[in-house]
Amino acid sequence: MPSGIDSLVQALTEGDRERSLAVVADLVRLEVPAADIVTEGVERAMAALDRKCTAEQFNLLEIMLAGRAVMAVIHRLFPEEASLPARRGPVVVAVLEGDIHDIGKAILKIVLTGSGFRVVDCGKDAPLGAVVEAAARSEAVAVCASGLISSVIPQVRAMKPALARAGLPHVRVLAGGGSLKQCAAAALNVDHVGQTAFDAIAYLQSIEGSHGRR
Amino acid sequence: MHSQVFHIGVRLDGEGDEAVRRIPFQPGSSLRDILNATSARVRSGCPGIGGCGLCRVRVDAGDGGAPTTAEILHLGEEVVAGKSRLACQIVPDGDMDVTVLTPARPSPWRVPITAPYRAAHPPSPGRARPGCPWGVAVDLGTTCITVAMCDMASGRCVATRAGANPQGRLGADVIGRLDAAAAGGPVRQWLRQSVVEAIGSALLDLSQDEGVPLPGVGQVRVVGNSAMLALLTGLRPEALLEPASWAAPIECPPADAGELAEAWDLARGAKIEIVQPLGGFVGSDLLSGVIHCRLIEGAEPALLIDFGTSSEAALWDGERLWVTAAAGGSALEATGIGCGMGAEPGAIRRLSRSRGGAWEGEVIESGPPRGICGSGLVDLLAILRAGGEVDELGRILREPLTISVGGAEFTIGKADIDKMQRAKAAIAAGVEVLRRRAGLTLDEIAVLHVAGSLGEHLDVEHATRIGLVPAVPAGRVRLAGNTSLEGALDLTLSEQAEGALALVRERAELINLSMEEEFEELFFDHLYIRPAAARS
Repeated sequence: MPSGIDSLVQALTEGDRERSLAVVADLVRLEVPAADIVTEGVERAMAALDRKCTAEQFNLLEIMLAGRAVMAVIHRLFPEEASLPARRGPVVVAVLEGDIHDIGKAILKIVLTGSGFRVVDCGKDAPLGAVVEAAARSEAVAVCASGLISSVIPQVRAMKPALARAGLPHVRVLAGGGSLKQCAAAALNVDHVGQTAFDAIAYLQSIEGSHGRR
Repeated sequence: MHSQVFHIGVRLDGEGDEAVRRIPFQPGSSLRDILNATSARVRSGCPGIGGCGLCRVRVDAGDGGAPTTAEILHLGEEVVAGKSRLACQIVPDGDMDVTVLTPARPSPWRVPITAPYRAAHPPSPGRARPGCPWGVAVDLGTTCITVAMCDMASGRCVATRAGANPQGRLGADVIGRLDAAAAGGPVRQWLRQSVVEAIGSALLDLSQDEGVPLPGVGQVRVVGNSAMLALLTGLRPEALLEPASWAAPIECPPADAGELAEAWDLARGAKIEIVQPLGGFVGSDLLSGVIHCRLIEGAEPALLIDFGTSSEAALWDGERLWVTAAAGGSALEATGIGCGMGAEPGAIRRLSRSRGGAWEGEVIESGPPRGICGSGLVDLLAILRAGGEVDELGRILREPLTISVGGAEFTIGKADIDKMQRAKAAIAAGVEVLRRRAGLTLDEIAVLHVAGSLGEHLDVEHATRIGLVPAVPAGRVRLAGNTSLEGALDLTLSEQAEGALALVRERAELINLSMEEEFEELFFDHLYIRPAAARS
């Protein structure tokens, strides 16, 4: 129901978790398929958030509120994460070893999930080996490394060679976060440096065709 | 006894009317002391006793009192003709207008305006080395270096100087500098050398103005946050960048006293001690603040919050001292805020709005305002929140948000408010983690000491309203000033202070917020612009 979906998009963009869940309850009662609610409602909300972020400068609190509303809706519709109809990805996200600041990764994960990506989360302080292993196991199309402190830069640089050694030279590497986003992709030996979570999504969408679906 | 506030209207020789600064004062200090806490410093070469004859001013209006013997000695006919006076010999007791005839040479070191130092622990005169009656305390902050010289026998603080930490060229925050140092070589050396030179320059400035010979300094204590001390002592910076170290004790190598004594021109055998940090990012600056506030001496719970580029908190529950550091960014020092500036001449340090909507600002050294410093920003946010122009999420409801104060316009944007929210959320969440660990309610906290950059002029009611400080019962909050420096003076002067410090280390429990599960949720909660009432 278009108007219901519209009000869901609005509630999510405004970070109103209660209202988002109420609208979802209505839509479910009207037998709108959960997958449609995600692709029509949640993903459109992500796109709207993206525009607002650029134009209006969302503050951190608003981003977190919107993220929580999205996660609440997704968990309500798909209590088992595995049943989430993610058409895209998978994408591995990690905060590399030595760094445990993960608000950025949390936002990225929400935005990726809300945009239809399957996300494999390696957590924080994650050794390179664990990230490569997760990429192999999940047949990931990309790895997103988030870093606040620049001491992780050597590991970021080592990511592509490590993936190549594991027989995964096609897996794209993205870097983002406090210290990393100041660097050029070539300097970090990655495929893309993301300024925001939405920037990362835009890049991942751009490579979709070239990589092919699972 | 109540003191009225008067004003000195001061200009430098040759300046016109538009340059006049109005300096508020309360009777009791000499004109030299009043002027030297401002940007209109007068030249001097002795401790204000009429010994050097350098601090020349002309009284243009008001009563300067009768010239003293020292003035007649130094100035002769000029003083008789009313052409000049010595500022140290005049003690104003009413409004005056003066012209500074011999301004102090330009200096990057200013005299911070603070309440006079009162030792928290009795001085130990026996500490003074033979022939070295002076001691020095250094507070090595990320943004600001402060040094103070004291008389070892009496415990009196002779003079203080504050100025910018030159490392700021490589970045405002601690992580950036540690990263740069970890890259090794010349940068790491420069980081250390620039600070050693800066301290030396501050000491020289102080010594020349007060006429105190530096080779008379025999005792030095340096406090600072862990990163600053690491860079100064040559501790490998990687140590602080590894998460494993953030809850562990930090052991800085001892200072090379001989090298530093020579660099700073102090007594040959001067004892120069770097006061060890507690661990992780909690430095000795917080510890010295704890002993100066005598935080752990009573049975009653007490809280100290030291605001700065990195803010720290210490909560005493009667048995243990819970301590943490919170990196929220330096928005509270007005760094990165469009209309913000440091607490210097021209900064609005207090703001109010009348019922009619007109803004009024208290400007440091009066004159046209150039920006708003940390305490003023707290006022601004509290007033806008109360007026409905900003909502509790930090959104601006009626843009653009421009205010007019003292003839100047200042704009505050959403990104500015976002930075302030993050800064306050980090320290407020950190304080709440401590409170939960200690098992205390806000009501149980007997006293809250507010120290650091906001520790002088903060409006506590406004700070409480926006959730910057926890809502302890009114009347229990004390603005404590620069407790780090004053605690360092205590350590320089007093054996008992050293004993108190040892006890503090024993009782301290360092909490590493990045490993606290609940921190993120609390951080999110404290982003809202509202009083930080305890939620559990």
